[in-house]
Formats: sequence, C-alpha cells, structure tokens
Amino acid sequence: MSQGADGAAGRPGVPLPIRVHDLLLGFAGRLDDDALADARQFLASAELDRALEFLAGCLVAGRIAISGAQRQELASLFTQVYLDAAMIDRLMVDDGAASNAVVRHRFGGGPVDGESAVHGVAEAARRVLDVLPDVRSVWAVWRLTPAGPVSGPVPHRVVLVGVGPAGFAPATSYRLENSLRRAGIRASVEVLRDGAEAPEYHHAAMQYAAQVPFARQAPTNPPPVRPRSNPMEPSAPPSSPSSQIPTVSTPVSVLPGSPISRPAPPPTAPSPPVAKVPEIPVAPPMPPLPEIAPPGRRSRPEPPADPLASANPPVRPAPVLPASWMSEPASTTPKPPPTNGKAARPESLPADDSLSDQEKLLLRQLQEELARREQEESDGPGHLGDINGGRHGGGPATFDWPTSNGAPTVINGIPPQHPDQPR
Amino acid sequence: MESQAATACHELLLRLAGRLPDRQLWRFRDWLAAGALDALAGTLPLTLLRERVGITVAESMLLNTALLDAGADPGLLNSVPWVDELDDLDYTFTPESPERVNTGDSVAVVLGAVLHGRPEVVDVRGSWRQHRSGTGPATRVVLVTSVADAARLAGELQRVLRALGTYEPGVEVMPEGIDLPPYHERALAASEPLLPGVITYRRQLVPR
Repeated sequence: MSQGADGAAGRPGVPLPIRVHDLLLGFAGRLDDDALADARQFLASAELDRALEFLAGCLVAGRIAISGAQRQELASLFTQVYLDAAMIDRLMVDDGAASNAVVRHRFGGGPVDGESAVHGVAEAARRVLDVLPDVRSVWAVWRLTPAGPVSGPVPHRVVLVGVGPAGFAPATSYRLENSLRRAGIRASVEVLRDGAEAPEYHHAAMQYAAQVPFARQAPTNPPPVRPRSNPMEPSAPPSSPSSQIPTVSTPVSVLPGSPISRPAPPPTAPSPPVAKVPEIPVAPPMPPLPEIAPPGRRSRPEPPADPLASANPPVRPAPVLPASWMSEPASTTPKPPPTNGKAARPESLPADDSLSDQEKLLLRQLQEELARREQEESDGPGHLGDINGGRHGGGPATFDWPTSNGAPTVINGIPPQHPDQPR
Repeated sequence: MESQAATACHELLLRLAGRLPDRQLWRFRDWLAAGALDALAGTLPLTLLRERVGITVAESMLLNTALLDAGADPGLLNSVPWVDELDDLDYTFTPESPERVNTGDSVAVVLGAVLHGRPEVVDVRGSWRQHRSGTGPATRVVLVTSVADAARLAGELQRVLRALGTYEPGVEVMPEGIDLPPYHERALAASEPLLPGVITYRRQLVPR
C-alpha cells in the first residue's frame, strides 16, 4: 500500500480518514505546516468534509500544483463525503511540478541555537505517548527550508512518528502536535504507518532525524521511514512488519544526530522482547535457588541429625535396682502421668528429654526408694497396706476417703465405694 | 482593483477579528488575498456555523455579497444566526507589550522596509493585545490604514510576519473611511506608530 501522494483513487478497504491522512502526507513540505496541522485537526475531529475543503482551499489559494493521482484521490474523497467537487477543477495538475524531484527540502540533524530537534519532545509528549496505541518510534529533525507559500519561520521542527497496525495515525498526529504546541513547541507531526511506503519528503527527513526516547519504545524498533540516499546506512531490510522487527539491527545508530544512549526497553514492547527471550540465559539463576532457604528456616540453627541430641541428657547410670523390681514386666514399671489423655510410651522414659536434670534425679531417687521399700516389704505385711501405711507412717490399713464433714462424698447420688469393695 | 465581492469579504473578515480564532482568521484572509473566493465560499459559512459565531445584519449582507456569487450554499448562508449587537470584547489593548524586553524591534524594521513608498498605505500603527482573562501571551496587532488593495496588502503583511515567527499574525488593514468595529477602535486607541516618523497617523478617532 502506498502511503502518501501517489495513492490511487478508490482504495478498497482503506477507511476514509486513513485515505485523507495519506493524502495529507503527500503534501508535507509543499503546504505550509500550519495548514497540514489544521487539516489533521479536522480529520481527527471526524470533520472529514471540513478537512478536505480546507485542504482544497489551501491548494487553490497557494497555487500548489498536484499530481494527477492526487487530484483523482481528492475528487474521489470529495464525492464520498458529498462535497461539491467544483473547486477540484480549479486545482493545478502538474505531475512534473508536483514531483518530489522539484520540491526538495534540506534537513539538519544538528542543534539549532544550541537546541537539538529532540529537545523537550519526549517530556512534552509523554502523557500522550503513554496512551496512544501502538506508537513504535518517534524521531525529530530540523527542516531548514520553507514549506508552502505562507511558510512559517525556519528552521522548523519535524517530528516523525511510526505507528503499528493498532495505531490511529490521524489521532496520533493531531494529539501529538497539540501536546507539543501546548508545551510551546511548534512542530509538524508526520505519522507514518508501519509497512506503508512513505513519500520522499519523509525519507529525506529521516536521513538526519534523531530518535526521541520514550517509555514504551523498544530500542530495536525501526524508524517510521528509512532514508533512501544515506550513504552511511548499512544494508538493512526496508520498513518491515512487526514480525521482522527483531531482524533490524539498529540501523539508526549510524545516522547523524541519532542519540547515543539507547532508551530503556519498554515493558509493553510488541515483538522484540519476545524474540529476545530465548537468548536470555534464564537457567543459570536457577541452581542457587535450592540454596536459598526460606527466611524462617534460615534463622534457625541447622537441625542436628538426631533431633534429641540437643537435649544433652546426663548420662544416666544404669539403675541399680533389686532384681525383683528390674524383673517386672515393662507394664508394671512406674508410668509417668498421662499427657493429653495418653500415657507416655514406656520407651520414651529413659530418654525423656522434657525432664530437667533435677526431675530426673528425683525420679531416680523415687525409683530407688520404691525398690528399697519393696525389698523391705518382702519381710513384712501385704503390698497395698504397706504402701498406704508406709506413706502415712504406718497408719491403719483402711482406705480413708477425705470428706469435709466426715460423711462419704456422694457423686451422682451414689456414694463412692472403696476400690476393693465389690460393687 | 479588488472586486466588490472581495471588498465585502475583506470587510467581513475585518469585522470578525477577535471573534473568530486567529488561527482560522489569518488563513481566510490569506485565501482572500490570493483571490480564492470560491474556497472561502465553501469554508467560511461552515466555519461560522461550527464555531457558533453570530453576525449582525450588516455583516450578513457582507457575507452574501462576498460569497453568494462565488458558489456559497445559500442554505448555509441563511443558517448563520444573526445577533442584534456584538458581545463585549474578550481583549484589552496596550501600546506596548506587557512582556517588553529590551531588544530591538526587528519586526517593525522589516515592515517598514516592506511598506516603504507604498502610496496606498496611509498609516501603520502597532498595538498589543491581551486576553481579558490574562491568560496567554500578548500578541502584536498591526494596524494599517489603506486606501486600496486592503485584502492583498493584508495577505502580504501576514506572510512577512509569519516568516518572522508570528504563526498567527494579527494584521488589520482598514480601508479608509469605513465605520470601524469596536475591536479596531480600541486597538487604535491604544496604539503607537509602528514606524515613527515615517507615516503620520491621520485618523481622527471617533469616541463611541
């Protein structure tokens, strides 16, 4: 698809605003910059008829020659928006005079009065660039020659913008120009669609344009248009669709005035980051991961191989117990009080680290005392009576239930019975 | 010699100063200077309608005289609303720029060179316009009194001023003897000769 002046009339499938936008691109450098800006404002405001009438008025008043293709496209557009095409007949048609070979402009990439063409553009357009879709790249250059019969002052700043398929060229052009104007920067904003051929004017401008960095911009994004006659340009493919973007090897870095510093990679860059993902060594960072322990575990000392070793229990000598006590089955050994309704396992007793040294010493003394008394009982009265009597200094051998008034305690209407009393 | 339609159109555009945006007004005056009445016939009525600019009865007659024969749509011409009297001006004028800096007036130098020896030019004065709200920069208004070729002279001076850096030039070329609108009366009342000693201001201001 041709982008600009030479577009043939009746481009099926191309929206009318895009056709008008492309038509206006073809008049860049031949109409004054304000006329193009005004026409683009009408276009962005959905005033196609006003934009076309304004364009025709500027062409007639300025006696600007147009090509036959441009006239055909203009007449077609006039018809499609129901405008009176009588003024089209007043247009001067001259393919030779309208050719870009006659209308040549000079551009400069260096600073003007100490100010480069990109100076202030990124800051002034940041808010707009953040919201406009699919803006691929922005470039700026000074035009040194006047444009149109009522030209403004020169040098004049020209901003070249490349948009992708999802971008809106008329809206991008108007909003960016308006944003710059509000910031006190007068500039022509030429928006070129990706994959479309640009007029010679824009190719010439790109020879000296410098890239304007902005947040969403990918460093590998191609310029909106490639200079045709730049001897310093390396061989590179022409303006390509986004699928070929990664193959462009920074062709602008050799252009005069191009910025040295590369812009930061955008988080929403369309395709270049995707193409670079396989090149990023993501595997090396993975091995250290197992070494990185969670903070909670890391703050603790390394657990010992034996979880119980940290208790460091005193070496308990083998209990010297009488053979009778030691010969009892495990079930008859003194059991620790049940914990949470469950009796501690017998095997946990020797190595019960929850006991302090003093408790373990007392427990051992108790066991020795029991063994001693058991040894003494072997020569005296019965076992149970011996226990009760022994604890209380040799009292009566009857079970004494403690009560406050001496009466037996009644539980649920039943007085407690002596454990040895049959129920 | 300008045609009656062109003269009427110039006076109409003169009266629209301060009512149409400068960005559009200078463009229409440029078209008129280039003789593109047919371009104005299609665009000016539409602009008046879309910018909601009302015109007086006298201005409506000027509009019809200027554009009807040039191909303007009579329906559009009749659609432009009339107003009984104009609203107050949104601008104030001062002889000197409120943002005066101590530099030479290169614009006056160039204008003096361009206008030197022109017999149709009666007077050239300058004034500075500021929006009543105080917003926006002060803009220079060049006030030229001429006895002929007012539209062409306005276009020429506009091109000069644009080349010098005034993107939306305010050039008011007033045919001698017309009833001046309030905008120009106040501008003249707060004006100074742009080319001191070269042209004598002869206009007798008529207080409103």
